[in-house]
Amino acid sequence: MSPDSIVIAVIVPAHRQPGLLGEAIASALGQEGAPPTAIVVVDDGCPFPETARTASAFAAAHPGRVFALRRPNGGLSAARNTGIEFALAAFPALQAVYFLDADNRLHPPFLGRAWGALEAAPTDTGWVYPDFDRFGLAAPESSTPWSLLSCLTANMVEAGSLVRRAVLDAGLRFDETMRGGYEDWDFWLRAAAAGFRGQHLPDAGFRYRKRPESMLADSERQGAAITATLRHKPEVAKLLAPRSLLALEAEEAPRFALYGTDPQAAVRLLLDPATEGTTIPAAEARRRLLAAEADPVTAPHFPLLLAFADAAACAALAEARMLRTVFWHAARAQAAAGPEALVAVGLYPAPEDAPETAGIAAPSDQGRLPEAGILLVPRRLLATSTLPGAARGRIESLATDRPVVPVRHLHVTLPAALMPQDAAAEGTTHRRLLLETALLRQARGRQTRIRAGWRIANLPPRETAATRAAAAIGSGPLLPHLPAPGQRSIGFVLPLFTLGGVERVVLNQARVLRARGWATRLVVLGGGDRMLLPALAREAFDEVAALTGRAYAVPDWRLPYLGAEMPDFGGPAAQEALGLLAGLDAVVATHSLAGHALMAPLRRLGTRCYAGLHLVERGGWGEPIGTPHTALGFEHAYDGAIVISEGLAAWCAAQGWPEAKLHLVRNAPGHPTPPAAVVAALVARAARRAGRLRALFLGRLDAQKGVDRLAALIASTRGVVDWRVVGRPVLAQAMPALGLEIEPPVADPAALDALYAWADVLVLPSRFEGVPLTVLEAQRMGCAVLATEAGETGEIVTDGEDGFLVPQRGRAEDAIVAEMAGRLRCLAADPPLLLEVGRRAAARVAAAGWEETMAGFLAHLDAVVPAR
Amino acid sequence: MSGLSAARGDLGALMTGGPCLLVPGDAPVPALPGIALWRATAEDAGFRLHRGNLSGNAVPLPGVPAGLLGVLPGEGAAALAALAGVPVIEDLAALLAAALAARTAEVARLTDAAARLRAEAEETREAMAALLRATGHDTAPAPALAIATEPSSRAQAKGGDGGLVLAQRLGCSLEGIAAVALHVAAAGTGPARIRLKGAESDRVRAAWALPAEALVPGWLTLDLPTPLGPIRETAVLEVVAEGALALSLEEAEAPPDRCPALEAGTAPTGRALALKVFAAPMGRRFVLSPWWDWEAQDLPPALPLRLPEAAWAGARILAGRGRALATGTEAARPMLALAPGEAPALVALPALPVTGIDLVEAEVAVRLGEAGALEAALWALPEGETLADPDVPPQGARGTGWRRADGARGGVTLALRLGSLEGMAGLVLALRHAGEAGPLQAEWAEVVLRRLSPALPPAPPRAAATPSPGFVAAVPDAAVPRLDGADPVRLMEHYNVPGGGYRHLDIQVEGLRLGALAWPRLRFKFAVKDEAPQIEVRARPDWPVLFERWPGSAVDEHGPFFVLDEAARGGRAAGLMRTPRDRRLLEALLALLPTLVATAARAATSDPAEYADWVAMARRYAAALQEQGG
Repeated sequence: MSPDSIVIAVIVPAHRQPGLLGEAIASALGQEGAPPTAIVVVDDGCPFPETARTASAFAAAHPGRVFALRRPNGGLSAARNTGIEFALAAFPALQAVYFLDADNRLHPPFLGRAWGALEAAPTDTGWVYPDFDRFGLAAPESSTPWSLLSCLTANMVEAGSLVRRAVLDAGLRFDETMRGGYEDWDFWLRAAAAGFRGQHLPDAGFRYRKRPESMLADSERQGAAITATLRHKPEVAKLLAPRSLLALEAEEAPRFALYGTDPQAAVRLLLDPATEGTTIPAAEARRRLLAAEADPVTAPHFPLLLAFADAAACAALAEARMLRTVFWHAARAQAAAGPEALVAVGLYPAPEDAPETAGIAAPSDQGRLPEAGILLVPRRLLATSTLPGAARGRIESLATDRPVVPVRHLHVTLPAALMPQDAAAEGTTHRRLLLETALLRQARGRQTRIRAGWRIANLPPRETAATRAAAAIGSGPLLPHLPAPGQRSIGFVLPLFTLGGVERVVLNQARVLRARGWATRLVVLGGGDRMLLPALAREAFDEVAALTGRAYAVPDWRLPYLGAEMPDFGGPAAQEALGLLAGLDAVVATHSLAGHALMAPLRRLGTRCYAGLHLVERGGWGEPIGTPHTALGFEHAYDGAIVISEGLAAWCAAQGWPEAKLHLVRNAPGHPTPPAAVVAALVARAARRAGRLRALFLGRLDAQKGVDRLAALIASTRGVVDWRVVGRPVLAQAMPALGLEIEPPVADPAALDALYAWADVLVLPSRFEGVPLTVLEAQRMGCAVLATEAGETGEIVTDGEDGFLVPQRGRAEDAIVAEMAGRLRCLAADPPLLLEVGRRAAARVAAAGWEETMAGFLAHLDAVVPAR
Repeated sequence: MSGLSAARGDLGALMTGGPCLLVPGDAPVPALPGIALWRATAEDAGFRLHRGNLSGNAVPLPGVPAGLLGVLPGEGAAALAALAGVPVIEDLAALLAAALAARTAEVARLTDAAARLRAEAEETREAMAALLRATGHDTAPAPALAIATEPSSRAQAKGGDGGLVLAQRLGCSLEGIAAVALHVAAAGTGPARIRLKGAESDRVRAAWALPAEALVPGWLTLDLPTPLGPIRETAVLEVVAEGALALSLEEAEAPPDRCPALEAGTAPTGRALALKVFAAPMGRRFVLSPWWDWEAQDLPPALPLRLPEAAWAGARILAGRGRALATGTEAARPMLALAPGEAPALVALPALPVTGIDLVEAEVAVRLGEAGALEAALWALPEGETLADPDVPPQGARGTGWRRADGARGGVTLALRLGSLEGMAGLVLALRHAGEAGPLQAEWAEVVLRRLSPALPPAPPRAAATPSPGFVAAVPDAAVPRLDGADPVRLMEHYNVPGGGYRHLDIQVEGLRLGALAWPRLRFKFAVKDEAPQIEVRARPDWPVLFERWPGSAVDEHGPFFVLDEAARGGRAAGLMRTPRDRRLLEALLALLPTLVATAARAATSDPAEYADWVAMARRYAAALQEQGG
């Protein structure tokens, strides 16, 4: 046979198996129905001369069909690569290469069959692989249909595969440094990273010799170490990146089967409930469900979780930006509750006194099935309930007060305005589940009893591949949020979200990023059961993920860092929380104790991590303490810190933060105001001629905010100043009488602006502040500010220019109050000065909105996370 | 790498495994028959191995020849030997003597080892036989029902003109199978062969030959004489039946990989055979199985088997005028001269073993234009029988009847089902001139014997998922098909029926590409039938696999075929393709069709008018099928 006619080269590395080598070569020579094939025996420096003699004897007996090379011992990878190089050089018509280990055998039709399959396959099919038909220790094992997701965590492809030449032409070779085994697994993963895929060939005819002691036995003993090395290779690490895992899961093993309430509608197989997924007819879904239950390893994939969902409920959750989070929580609750437990997701309106509240409570046990917008049912429950001979009525018992199926209840609170209104939809998910159960029972009766196969299925099934892959990178199940192609994403981690100052800063930063095309995600660790999500907040975030519980704020006082509390957060809970963040391009963690503990693992997954630092607080003894101190212990895990003032930046640098890691992002007003409203307020202020000076206090009524100083101020200026006080007393503290009615707190932006527009002066007698948003909001509306020099207020008020600052450090309380009162009287007597100060304040704020203050940080993000 | 290099064309010769020596520099080359000698010329940082021709580029040797014994003395020998990892040979005779002695000793050891293996095999067989004798006298346990499916009253696999030929996986391994049962829905009118084989090895492990009278409605249980041993291969049941046999399918639904694959006959999709499989422990059950086909074990693979040259050499002309004629390098074939009105010519081949063979195909070739006058018939005779008159065959003979050229292939193709013919059978070809014009010559060109073994349906196909990210599986709409290679289009056959009712060009194309998609080889016939163009594609062992999923269902005696004519205009052609890749193939083929046909037509004819007509037909056809749908 001329080398020019060879289409397939069978590479046989030979080392220390001279007695078996002849069988392997003979089985390759005995192939029937294959295109012209050559056998290339590579003696890998075998110390037994019989190896060379056997190879030479076969080569001499079969000229043009068997070729024998020798090389210094380099290991299995090196020997295969040597064979590859020879075949590529010597056989110009070569189309494929087959790797046959010297102790294995082939049935005669194998190569013809494999070649036919490879030729007929699409060009991105790089190789065709057989089952593991073991002989010796006989235990034939089936492989599975190709899944890159599965291959990432289990070596499902035998080295004895027929590989298309294109794979080798792409430069792929075996890693010669991997002499401990699993070099074939590495090869397949790198080939997959290069865009090729495998194809399973059932009944192929490959025979794998299994002995109690072999190279594979050695490899299995060192499996963990070799696997770890493999996973750190750049090509493999890229495949294991969270975004890649999400894309693979969506394509190969969608997490959920979504059933609408219309029994005629098709079933959607999807990862991300906000996407369409793959649609299959309901009858086909039943067939696939039953096949997956019968043969989970070899059957086409069908999700383990079935979601019977009311469309209006899903729409409401999507509007609340919580759809994906709720599905994640429901799956989490189901996994924790047991293999046949069902999760009912109930939607409830926010309380009347807080209509914008949203939250996810911890799952609870429920005696009976509550009204549920979504029912998450494990596939196994449905399958076992429909087995012939199974006790009827398990699913049906859900309608009774004592269901025999465990039920967990997920209580989801939504803003009242978002609640689904259709009362007729009640009970539809349950009825759909009952109908599907009945139809599945019928379908099962119509299924053939002939099994798909008879081999042992030892490989893990594809349906668990995503969970295993996430675990391989140290994460729990990933949030089922499929990123839009090319879109960058950023997460904001907070311990709670009740629209305090810190939250409003985060909200505005997210709004700016979203407007620039970023996908934004709010992740609340701890206060997930009670968040404030008005429309303004929902517009700033694509998704709101939340976890509830005290575990996220528990300090570990055994090992403080320079006296600052460190988080006591790790293990499975941390892995689980990581699942809500993995895959994001960047994360900003603000004031979240548990968040610090997640930054290092997130960075290892490729996420850029930033600490959001707002102010150094004071402890009970007056000692400086707070998030910036805790963050010092994690500075190395952060790519940088966002600080809101120059003062804080200087503090961070002084404490050891590299200056290059500090990003100054000054605050801007906490809510947007239409420019026309600002203009109207300024015009109205300028037009006002008569009346007493109007002073406004807005904030918490506690000692930190100087409520005692406020009381004294009001008393001493009541004759010349009209006062309004808006806020809420802190119940635990004694509060002095102010002598006037306290107005309740205001959250509505228009109502806040109206207050600022009414006031001539915003008074802030605080003992302690950061960069108060109220100052900026008041200044925007032309209101002058009179404040103590607390925190970094001096960075947003220039004394005598656009406001007035009263020093307080080292001064007696009387003196502070007296100076503030004096300022108020002066302003009351000098309306032009008041107007001018207010005008300058408005001009200052107008020039520095969030887009402007974030410019530097945005440029930094664009540099470190370039647009795809 | 070894530091050694050689020209690409020398690589195969270098690595033959035979003994070889390297000759450094200009050292004299001794005469050593049986030992390959290669010169090694210093080049760059190593040595180039050659046989006197240093032209062309060399490639690095990935390894050294396994049979390399050493380096002969000469300038640079030490460095060369170090690179090759072999010694410099000062005393060649001693080396060869030692190698010969080592080989002789090895032969002795291997002979001894073979003898020991044989002895162990014999002892094992004797032990097995003793065990079977002992256990065979025990009361055999009743076989256990391993698989049982219920027959449908309506769904059947029915035999057609070509009988019923099907295969189906049983969902279990062969190990322990003691009996299988099929449900006969309608009585057979011809004999049937039923086989049980291993899918992986394609080896037949059980076979039954049933006469028509055994195929009565109801359960048909087929016992194995003894249950199968530890054969861990997927069990596949094959049925090759003549006549109108109908087997019940089950009422339950089955996915495609568990449904029967049909090569002849019809069956609704989504249903498996109604069957039962019984299992029993090996060595405990011995029955006398009716219809057991002892000869059919370990049949040859289900591949086309051609006759050895000795069989052709033994061809005898029983009647008529003829001789053996060899063309080119082919062996001689019988060539007969036929005249109008003469008695049929008869040619007989020596008796052939036909056990397990289901189908014999014979091809008779004639000169262009003469096929219309020829009639042929093929007979298979039981051993010892002769055929004096083709219209009066002996008992037990099977024949095709007289056939004319079918117009699709030129000449005459005869396909004969052997039914229950077993053992040795003689083949006799009868030819006669059925026309009135001048004499013609006909050649018995080919005989192919086949075991019918339908290709099993694949496992559930992978879902039409989006391509892997990063890989260009998507083909831009603007992609232009092209052909790679120096000579990608070849005319396989040009056929023209006299009178002009049918003509075709059988065309093979290599290296078709469209964007990132590629088809290494494809073959089709561009035919004009009654002045309407069409394309015909066949699924045969000697045709390349073209479609990802076969688009048609038509089958004739030559196997499955697919015809696409102008009725598929208006976008319907693309709709017949079952996968996106196949649609792109059709798109590429139609785009290139005028070019392909023009190339083939240039080889087929020197008549400008005929050439122009071929090209015009190709353009017309491509334009019709490329029309967008309404």
